[in-house]
Amino acid sequence: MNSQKQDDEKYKKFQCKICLDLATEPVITPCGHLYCWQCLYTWAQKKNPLQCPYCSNVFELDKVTTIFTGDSKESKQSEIPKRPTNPRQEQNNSSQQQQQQQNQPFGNFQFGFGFGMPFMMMSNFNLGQGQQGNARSFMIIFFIGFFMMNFLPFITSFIQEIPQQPQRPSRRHQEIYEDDYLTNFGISLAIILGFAGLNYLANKILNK
Amino acid sequence: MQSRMAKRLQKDLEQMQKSYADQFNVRMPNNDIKHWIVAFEGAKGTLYQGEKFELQFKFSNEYPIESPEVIFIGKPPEHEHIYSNGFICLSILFDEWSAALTVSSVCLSIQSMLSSATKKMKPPNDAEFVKRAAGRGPKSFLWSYHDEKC
Repeated sequence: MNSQKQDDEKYKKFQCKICLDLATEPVITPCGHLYCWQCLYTWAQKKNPLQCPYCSNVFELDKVTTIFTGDSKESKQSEIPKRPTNPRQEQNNSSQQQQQQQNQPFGNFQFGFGFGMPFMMMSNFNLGQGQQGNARSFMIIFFIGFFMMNFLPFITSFIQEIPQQPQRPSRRHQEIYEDDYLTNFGISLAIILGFAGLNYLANKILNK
Repeated sequence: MQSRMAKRLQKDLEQMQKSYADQFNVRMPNNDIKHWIVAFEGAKGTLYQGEKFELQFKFSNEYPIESPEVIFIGKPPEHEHIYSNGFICLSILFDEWSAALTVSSVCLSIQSMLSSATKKMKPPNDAEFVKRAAGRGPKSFLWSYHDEKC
């Protein structure tokens, strides 16, 4: 009996805030408060939206973290479901790919370049008649190629969802991605303007 | 379920007797753990200084998931949110009940509600409410916690 009292004192830090007893099958809420799974589950059936009894923070029941303890026996009562499993993240290939993508400053740009380049080459073929037609078709096709080269990366990046975000992306990572897109865009713009200038010159020369 | 309620009430009682023995006096008239009477005095330096009050707690088997039924018995304090039949308009006893609340935290809330009063007055709709409340428990009402209504 006496040792029971001592234990009570000792484990007071780990008491469930609902039953005020040592938490059995403990879970922890997103706000960091400890409960028995059974107590919190019963409370969740009554309280909608679910609020932390201690601090009133609103959360969802499946967002609790299961704490695995030494005895690890699951509840015998069948009307109460098992505790949710904690989210896991394995080290796998997709995270390596992601690293690669980060190392290549314009990974998608290369794709667009590869796609647009053939069109630019095609601009060398003679599609019109005479000098004038040649120059016009050159310009049109050259520009199609150029357009694709610069803007395809953005389009494909939206379609493919290439940056596979981890489950909990840190804010810093997202900023890096945004920076990437911005520099990419800036470079593309510079190239477009440069070539537009060249084209203007070429136009003048051809038209004399 | 039964055992959780009884265990939790045991803890509540311990807490009351350990930490608040000088403020609150608990007794169980029928030796029933589900029926408590808590006696206390109005705090010093407040309008209710020296007045003696008794709160009746009735717990359901679902306690602490369900709130207890708390009313004043005997002569209730004259307060804006306390009706003459002893019913208390206090949000934590109804909608805002939380399973983390204990008997002692409820008692402290009620005492602080009394202590913060600036004048003694009955609720504006006291007579009408008491008539309406005959034979009903406080938890059967849809309380609204605006000062005009409550």
